[in-house]
Amino acid sequence: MVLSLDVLSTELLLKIFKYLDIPDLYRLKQTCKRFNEIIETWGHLLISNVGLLVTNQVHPVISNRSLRLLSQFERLRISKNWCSGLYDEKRLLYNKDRYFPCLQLEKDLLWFSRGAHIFAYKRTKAGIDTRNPVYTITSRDNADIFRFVKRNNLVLSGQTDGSLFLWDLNTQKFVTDLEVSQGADVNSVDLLDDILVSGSRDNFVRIWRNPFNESIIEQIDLCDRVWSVALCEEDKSLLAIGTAGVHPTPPLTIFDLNKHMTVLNFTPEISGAGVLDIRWENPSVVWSAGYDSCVRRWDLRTGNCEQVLEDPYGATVYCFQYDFFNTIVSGTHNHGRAVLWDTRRSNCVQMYFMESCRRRGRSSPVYGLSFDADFLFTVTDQHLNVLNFSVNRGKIRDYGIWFKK
Amino acid sequence: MPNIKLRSSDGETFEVDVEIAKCSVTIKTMLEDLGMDEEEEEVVPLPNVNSAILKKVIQWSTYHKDDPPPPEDDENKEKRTDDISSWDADFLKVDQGTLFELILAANYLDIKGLLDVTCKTVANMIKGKAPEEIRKTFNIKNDFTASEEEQVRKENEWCEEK
Repeated sequence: MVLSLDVLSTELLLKIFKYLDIPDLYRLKQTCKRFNEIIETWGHLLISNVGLLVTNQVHPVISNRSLRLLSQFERLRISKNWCSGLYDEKRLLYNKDRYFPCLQLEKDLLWFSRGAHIFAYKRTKAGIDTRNPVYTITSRDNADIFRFVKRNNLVLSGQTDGSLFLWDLNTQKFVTDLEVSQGADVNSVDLLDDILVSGSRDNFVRIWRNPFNESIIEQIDLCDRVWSVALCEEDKSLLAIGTAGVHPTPPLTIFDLNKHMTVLNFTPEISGAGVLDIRWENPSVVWSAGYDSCVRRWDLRTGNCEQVLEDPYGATVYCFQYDFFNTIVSGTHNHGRAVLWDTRRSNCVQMYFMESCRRRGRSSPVYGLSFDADFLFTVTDQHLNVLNFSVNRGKIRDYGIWFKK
Repeated sequence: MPNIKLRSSDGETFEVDVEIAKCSVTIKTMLEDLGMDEEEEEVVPLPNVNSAILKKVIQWSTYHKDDPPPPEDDENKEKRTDDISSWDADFLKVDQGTLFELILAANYLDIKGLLDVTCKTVANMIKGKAPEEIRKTFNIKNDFTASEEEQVRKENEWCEEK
């Protein structure tokens, strides 16, 4: 009897496979069904891992913005890259003038605002195709765009001159374009089904309905600059509002659009904890981040802050994204630094410094970021960068070792 | 040194130094737990190992009898395969069938050192090879459907390109 490799039991094959590196395992996966299945099923024994982060594609919000869906083994491999700091960074776009850019990630497109323009670029395996934007939208009077949101065929954008526009991608026309806050910056916008929300420097949150007739259905005075607004996808009556926190007003307000009243105020222990970014997890849980250098999880059922992810350098958190499954990536106020968090343990797992901010004398906040399993896109004052975590080789920039206990 | 008799699956008996036989945790346990007396003329049956392989295993164990016990597997330690001694490399210059039988025997007899070195040898035969070369080397049948193969190939492309 002549024996061949596949007479060995799974257990023994794994004893052999554990000596192989990742490219070898991928080539082995291609040889036959059994080896492919063994490596998929038992990959966690072949790749040491601190626990899967970033690459969970469970939640529809995440799977809908993922360029591709991963096999189990691919998840393990890429998760390890995120945790150990193995990635390839590319500067996708550069501009001489400094702006407050903003971005939004979709499966096929990356939306990016800079100055008076919103661009949509096609996503590729290298990041994006920067040659020709698929869409370009320009604000009236070339006013600087501060924040925009794209949903379905609509783009809602707030400008620093106090104007707001709604653009229809099908007709390529403005649905509306109006002056809302008399020259005071529109610092935040959100859009969900027929509800449109803006928050301005003049302390007001304004709510409209689409089809748009320019009459405000609700105007809320927060007595403080409004930095962020977020509608809750699963309960459309809920609106979270983040303010500057410099006045006695609590920096995070939950407003009920059906009852036309504030249902909850959240106040951190310290004053001046302005809220710059908000994300709903579900109708009971909302995440916030801002000047207090923390990402916080608030629970509407208990009315308390239930979790705090404190930036290791005490830097203001400008933006963050949550994968609805253990992972948060936050963007901080200097050195182009983004931080990876494991929400199961409230500890910082890894940090990524944008190359463009590593030069002497150059520092910028990460104004916006978004990620899927393979890529982290970030915007700083002058750059749009992509960090590609699907690589197999490259420089390891492991700052996480400083935080490992 | 007292000796012990080992009987292979095909009925051949080998007389071996007990200390050498005890390289095998299976045999060691058998002797200790079952209270087999070294004085008696007992024969240890090894129904899973044939005489050709048992001979090889005894040869390996004799050479390695004074080795320190192999270290426990460490998850975080880098897995090296370039640390096979020249004696082991020569010893394992055998046909594939023998190599896999040695793996099975080392596993059954629980001889960690031999299992590690045989597995490393097979891993080295896989390393750096394209899927088709691996199939050829080990006579593996490609049982993917065209679309399955395309899917796995695509995934690999993504990871290799960079």
